Amino acid sequence: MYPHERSLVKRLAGEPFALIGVNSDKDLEKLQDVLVEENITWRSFWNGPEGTGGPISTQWNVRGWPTIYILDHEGKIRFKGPRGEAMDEAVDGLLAEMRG
Amino acid sequence: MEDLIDEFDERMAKFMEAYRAEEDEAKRQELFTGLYPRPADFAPRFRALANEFKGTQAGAKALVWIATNVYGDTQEATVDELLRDYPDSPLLEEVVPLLANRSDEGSRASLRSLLSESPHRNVRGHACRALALNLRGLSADTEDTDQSKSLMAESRALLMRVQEEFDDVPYYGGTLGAAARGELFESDRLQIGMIAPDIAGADLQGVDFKLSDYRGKVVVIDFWGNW
Repeated sequence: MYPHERSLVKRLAGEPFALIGVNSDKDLEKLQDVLVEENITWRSFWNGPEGTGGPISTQWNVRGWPTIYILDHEGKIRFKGPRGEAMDEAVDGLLAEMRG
Repeated sequence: MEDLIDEFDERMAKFMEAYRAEEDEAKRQELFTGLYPRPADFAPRFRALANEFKGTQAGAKALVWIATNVYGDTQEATVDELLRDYPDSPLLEEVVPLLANRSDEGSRASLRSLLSESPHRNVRGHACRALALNLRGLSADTEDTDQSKSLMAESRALLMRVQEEFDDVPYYGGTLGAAARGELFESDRLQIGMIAPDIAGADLQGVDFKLSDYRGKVVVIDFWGNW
């Protein structure tokens, strides 16, 4: 999944777009190496030391990983779940809609 | 019956052990074709037991094994068989959650009758929650706005009822009540068209920020982990 997200972030650099992660790894120290190795440049909240049982994923009732939500520029939830090409299409559609 | 379940579990444990010990990806794939106990291969043996012990709890247990280990049409048909032949079995609590994602009218009719008629509180509780989720899915797929709203209201009421009547019923290491609380938040705050609830917290470098800092941009929220 990282390659797809890297290319999406790269392609839309400079556009009014952000990929925001909620990371559920328990060990924040170990994760730092992964960020460098995988070139993960996008920002993530940390879900805390309880990992998948952490407060953000619990509140959002996340049962499976990864889980995706896509919001428009007003902060409205527009899509749940699309990955890969479907994610790209959803984002491109919302950017087009935003430009009117 | 128990022997067959043990045989499957032992083979699965052996497979998991070998899989964890093997680091080479190609060899791991070989384990899948060799050592992995395919549920579809075991299913006919459970089916034979289900037929032999039809009408008894052992027969029901064999069907529950098939319904919870095999996917697709076989799973759906086996769940339907259980509902038809064993409506009073306490074992139904294991398969009732599978009805939450089904779109056929029959699945909702079954859940309604289990909720009112099952002699087992756990089964009624699971039916209450599964019906709530099923109706929520139906609401999302219903174009008529009024009808969609009324389905959502019924779904919501059922999730409230789960918390009132079935709060402590065990479910996946937690309880039905805890699951229903998460699902109510999802119904109330996380539906398509709703403004996303804000998230505030620290990033992976320890710097605090908020989801709403990104208002004005199209945002993909990705719940991820490196595993």
